[in-house]
Amino acid sequence: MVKLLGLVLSRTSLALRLVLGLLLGAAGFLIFYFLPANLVELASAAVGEEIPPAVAGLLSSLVDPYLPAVGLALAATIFLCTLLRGTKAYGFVTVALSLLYAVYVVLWFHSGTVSIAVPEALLGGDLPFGISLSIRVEMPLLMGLYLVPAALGIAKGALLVLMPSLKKD
Amino acid sequence: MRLSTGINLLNVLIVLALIAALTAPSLVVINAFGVLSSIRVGEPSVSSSGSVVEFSVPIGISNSGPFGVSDVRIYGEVRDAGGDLITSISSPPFSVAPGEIGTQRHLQIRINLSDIPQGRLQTLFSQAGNLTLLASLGLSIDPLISISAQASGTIPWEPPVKDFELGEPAVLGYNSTHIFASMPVRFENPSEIAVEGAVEVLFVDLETGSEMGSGYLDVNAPPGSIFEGELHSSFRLPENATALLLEARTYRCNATFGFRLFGIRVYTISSPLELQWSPPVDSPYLGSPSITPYNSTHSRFSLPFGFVNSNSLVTLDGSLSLGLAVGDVLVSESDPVGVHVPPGSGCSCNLTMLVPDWALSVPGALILSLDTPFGSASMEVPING
Repeated sequence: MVKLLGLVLSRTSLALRLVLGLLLGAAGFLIFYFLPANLVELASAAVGEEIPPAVAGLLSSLVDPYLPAVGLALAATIFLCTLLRGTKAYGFVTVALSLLYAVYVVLWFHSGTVSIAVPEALLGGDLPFGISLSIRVEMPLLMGLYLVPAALGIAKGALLVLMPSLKKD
Repeated sequence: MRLSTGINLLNVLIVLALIAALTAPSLVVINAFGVLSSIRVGEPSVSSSGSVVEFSVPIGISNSGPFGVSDVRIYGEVRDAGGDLITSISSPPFSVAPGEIGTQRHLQIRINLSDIPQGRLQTLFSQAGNLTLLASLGLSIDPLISISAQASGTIPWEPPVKDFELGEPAVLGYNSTHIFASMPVRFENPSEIAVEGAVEVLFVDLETGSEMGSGYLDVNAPPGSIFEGELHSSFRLPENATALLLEARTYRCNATFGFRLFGIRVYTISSPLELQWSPPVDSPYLGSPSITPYNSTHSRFSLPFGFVNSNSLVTLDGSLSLGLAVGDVLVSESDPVGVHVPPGSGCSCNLTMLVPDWALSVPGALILSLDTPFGSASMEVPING
């Protein structure tokens, strides 16, 4: 038997937690870090040819520079959350996971407003005049919808942190 | 026990919220693509009434998705190189409710050309430069997303009327009050817009300020074309038009050419003109008369007469006649001799009449008359018998 932050586990259970944590962490790594950090390369691979620099620049501008770092932290927290489920630290890890997820959502949605400056090269190089196009997408409600799980997660984490003291009462 | 129930409830809610959050964008995207792919744009129609030009584009649109599409609006404006607004267009916003299938909308864009200051129109028609175009499109997919797009561009502008030239006028005809002339008009339209309308011209006497003449020409110059046409004008003759037959004159006037499009004058070119008028009856000469007996009471009187038509435009048509007056009495008159004298050519003829012999021995006057559509002129030559 192994004692993990106040939780007694069998070695098999711990091994299972480690495997499940690694799997979920790897999935989180792929989704929250690898995908945004390598968006241009993945898009090139998906279409089977090199993406023009103008499109590559446009795709890169959609990804906030801090997003991969937060995604990496999120993947690590997912692993910890799976591993430490039921332990004394689970409540804190849940709150951390929810906060990181909330930050990730805010960065992903660019705080609810995405402004895209479409490069001139994408607007038709044959045009006899210069033209610029900017697109602004406002989606604070959609971002809010994505933040609901984070809010619920923070509530859950807070309850888990407070649970021992509440039980004592 | 109650806490673990609360945790479980939160877990369920988190899962449900995640499902909702992941589903919502998919539904929005499917909804948006459904609406966009349903758009059918019909044949646009253009109608103009006075200075108002209205474009109407019929749009068929369906929305089978769960979200309403609202506040679809289009706005555009054009500014000149100095940043001053030339014109702006906007469409009234419209919405497509969820479940609305095959709805027909009309995107109406209205431009009132008379709202554009005359000075800016004048500049547009005469000067090349860069125009700034701003266009924006907006719509909302209720209540989650609001999209707006703004395009701005600099468009090189070529004036629609370039190298305006007026050729040598040609007289088409005249009467006692007016001269009708035709003037070749030529200009280039290197721009991207069609010049469809009319050219009007007004000639104003610089000395008196009165209108001397006017003209009109229908114009249709497609983009990138060279327009050539004949501007038909009429010039009002002075009250004493007979003097024009014999006297040279210089008319100083201001010619104003106005381009009229969609019912409003959009461009005018003014230029001072000096019209030189040379007399159609110039350098008249009388030859030596000859008298030959005709019968016992009358003699045949012949008088050579000639002149040069110095006018470069007018062909003089009319008739010449000769008469002999003794005192106030016209005692003899020749038959009229028709004349047709093109510009720059001369006319010479022999005017013949039968004269009573008695009239040749008393003082009198030979009366030379010229009748033309301009009027009649006569010249008296005293004879002493």
